[in-house]
Amino acid sequence: MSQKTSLLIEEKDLRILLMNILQKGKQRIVAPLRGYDGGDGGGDDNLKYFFREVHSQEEIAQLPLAQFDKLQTHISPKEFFFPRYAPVLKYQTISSTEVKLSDVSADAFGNVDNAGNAKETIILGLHPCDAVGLSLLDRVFTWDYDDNFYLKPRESTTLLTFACSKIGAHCFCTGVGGAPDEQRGSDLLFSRMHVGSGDGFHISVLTPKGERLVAEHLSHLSSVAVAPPTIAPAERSVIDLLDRKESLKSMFDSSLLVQQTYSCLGCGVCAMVCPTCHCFDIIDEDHPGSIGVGERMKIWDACSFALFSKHGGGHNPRDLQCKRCRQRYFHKLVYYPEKFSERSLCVGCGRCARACPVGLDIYSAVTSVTSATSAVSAAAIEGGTNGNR
Amino acid sequence: MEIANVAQVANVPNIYYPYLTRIVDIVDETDDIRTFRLQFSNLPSGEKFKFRAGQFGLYSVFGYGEAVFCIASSPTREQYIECSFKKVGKVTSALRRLEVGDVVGFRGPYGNYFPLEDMVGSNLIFIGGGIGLAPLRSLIDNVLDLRSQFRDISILYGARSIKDLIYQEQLCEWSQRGDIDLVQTVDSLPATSTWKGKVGLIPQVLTTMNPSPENSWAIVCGPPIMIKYSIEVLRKLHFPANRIVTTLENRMKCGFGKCGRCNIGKTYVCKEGPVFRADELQNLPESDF
Ligand SMILES: Cc1cc2nc3c(=O)[nH]c(=O)nc-3n(C[C@H](O)[C@H](O)[C@H](O)COP(=O)(O)OP(=O)(O)OC[C@H]3O[C@@H](n4cnc5c(N)ncnc54)[C@H](O)[C@@H]3O)c2cc1C
Ligand code: FES
Repeated sequence: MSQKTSLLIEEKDLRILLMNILQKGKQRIVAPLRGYDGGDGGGDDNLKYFFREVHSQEEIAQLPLAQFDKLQTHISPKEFFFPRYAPVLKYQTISSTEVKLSDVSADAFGNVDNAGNAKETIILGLHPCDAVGLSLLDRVFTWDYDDNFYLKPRESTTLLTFACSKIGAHCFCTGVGGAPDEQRGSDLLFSRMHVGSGDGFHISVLTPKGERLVAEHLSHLSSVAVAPPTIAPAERSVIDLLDRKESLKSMFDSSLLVQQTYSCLGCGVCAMVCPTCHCFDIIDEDHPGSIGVGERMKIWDACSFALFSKHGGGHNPRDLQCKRCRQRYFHKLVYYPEKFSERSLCVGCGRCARACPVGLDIYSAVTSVTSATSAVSAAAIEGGTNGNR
Repeated sequence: MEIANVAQVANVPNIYYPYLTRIVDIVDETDDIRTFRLQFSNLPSGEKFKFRAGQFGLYSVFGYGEAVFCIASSPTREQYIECSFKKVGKVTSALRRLEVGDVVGFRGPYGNYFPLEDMVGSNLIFIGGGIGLAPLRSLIDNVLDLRSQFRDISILYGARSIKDLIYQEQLCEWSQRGDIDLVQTVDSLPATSTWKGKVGLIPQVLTTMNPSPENSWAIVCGPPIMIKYSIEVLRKLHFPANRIVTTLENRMKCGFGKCGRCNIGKTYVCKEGPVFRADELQNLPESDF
């Protein structure tokens, strides 16, 4: 197979291509669909979109391809690999002395072929930050123990990412080492540009998975020597949080950090919408009306919940909301990067800021806390340690 | 600290899939602490369950969920594993309703373990508080089964009151052995008691015991506050920080570094712990455990 690294496609041809893929039925297509369970989005267009499987040609006809470079889904695509709520095991208690266990298939879509393999999937319309987020999650779910509930669907999914042409009101990817056209984690990267007589995309083919998809569906296009369009620089300047890591560490016990997070309600929405938050609980869920017959589930959890780290003995190391916020910020910017030698676990998508009911956001909190360090030494503000909140 | 060889447990297709075990014996230690002896019922033939003292597992009652307990028996006693648990919530209450012959799910072993090899040829002082004797017992029995490889062994065990002491039968056996120095203490006593042990908090009794740090290891398990003050005393007695080991009990769900629950700073207690040396603890952000 000749290696195609750059292709051009008109928008209308991309839509036809998607229709063909859907018709052939070999891959399923997941894309931002409108209003799935988001109501009217409270006036924010982004909140109206969710990654969902595309089932019909009408849905493809309506996909806002021309908006994919701007539109951000309410919840990140992580839920296709790490669903909100999914079984890991089935149990059947016949009597207290006899229990039967059975495995469940490692397929987050709840849909496997006869051989038990997850169906091939294309996720279309995610942004570079989302794709980077998945490559960061890969590190966690393969850390010594392979979590196949995550890995199986991950292996069978091809990511068709759309470079961002506009920085969103809450975005700050460039402040955590990312870029609106970053390639990491994506299989194909689409960048909007004029193609032929109308709107279209430049496609960078980045991985063997991407090559396979191209060979299967785009073999009629020939490789071009056109570079992807340069993405317009950010419309607002973004402070580099990576430069602030050491000063953030020095503020571990600072009262400024406490003040910045006073208003946190502990609702956990930031973790739910985040592309890289991966805390979960494991619970047993009996089938309705039966006792001891049901499924063991992995279910999203959040470090901002008050009981998250409470010991059986009653002691709670993160007994105050400010400590729980600190855990979240430090996990993103300090703990994970140090453990996995990565730049940051926060990818700067800004979903948490958009979703927060009290307007808290990691970017503003960290920038303002660390701006203060340059003026005030950490020692001078000692004493505010985890005060009353 | 040593990291357990995860290769034996890694790469199974479903890391959440437990073994099935059967309860073969039940002992009521106190009003709310109970010990189960468990035998594996579905190990592939010829396969033995192997672990090291200090490691833990997730025990489950199907329909109620999983709870983390250390393995309280010695790895040298290969026919079974034991756990001792205190009734505090959903899973521990469900476990208490089970009887001999009933099924318990088990995933593990997880985490690192006590540096047994490094302790060979040394004096050992075990300091346990309350249910903290459970993880210690795994190592104590392990060491006693290899008694000739170690020098003096002392055990300081304390609980709130006489009725809160666990493993009473075993304490009695240990006290009768000539080759162990066992000191027991309770925080307080009823006036008419015939108690022959000490009265006082563990760190105080430890101070009066005044163990020599010379060629010695101290192993401390118990509630966080007791661990903290006991380590302070040991440091005052000139025990080097890298010869004081303890176990931490952060809340856990997965046991293998995925669920994000057990970290202290960048350290995952389920993977890099639960066993830590005092010098390692010094580098953990204190208010986070
Ligand atoms: C490495 C390790 C080793 C351990 N070893 C042992 C051991 O050997 N023996 C032992 O007994 N324990 C041990 N523990 C502790 C043990 O894991 C917990 O006690 C156990 O998981 C409790 O499970 P549960 O379902 O019964 O309690 P849960 O129902 O989960 O409740 C636990 C605690 O959470 C709090 N809680 C729960 N729900 C609420 C609510 N709605 N509102 C307020 N608070 C609430 C309570 O404080 C309660 O005590 C160990 C823990 C670790 C991490
Ligand atoms: S217990 Fe899940 S990460 Fe440690």
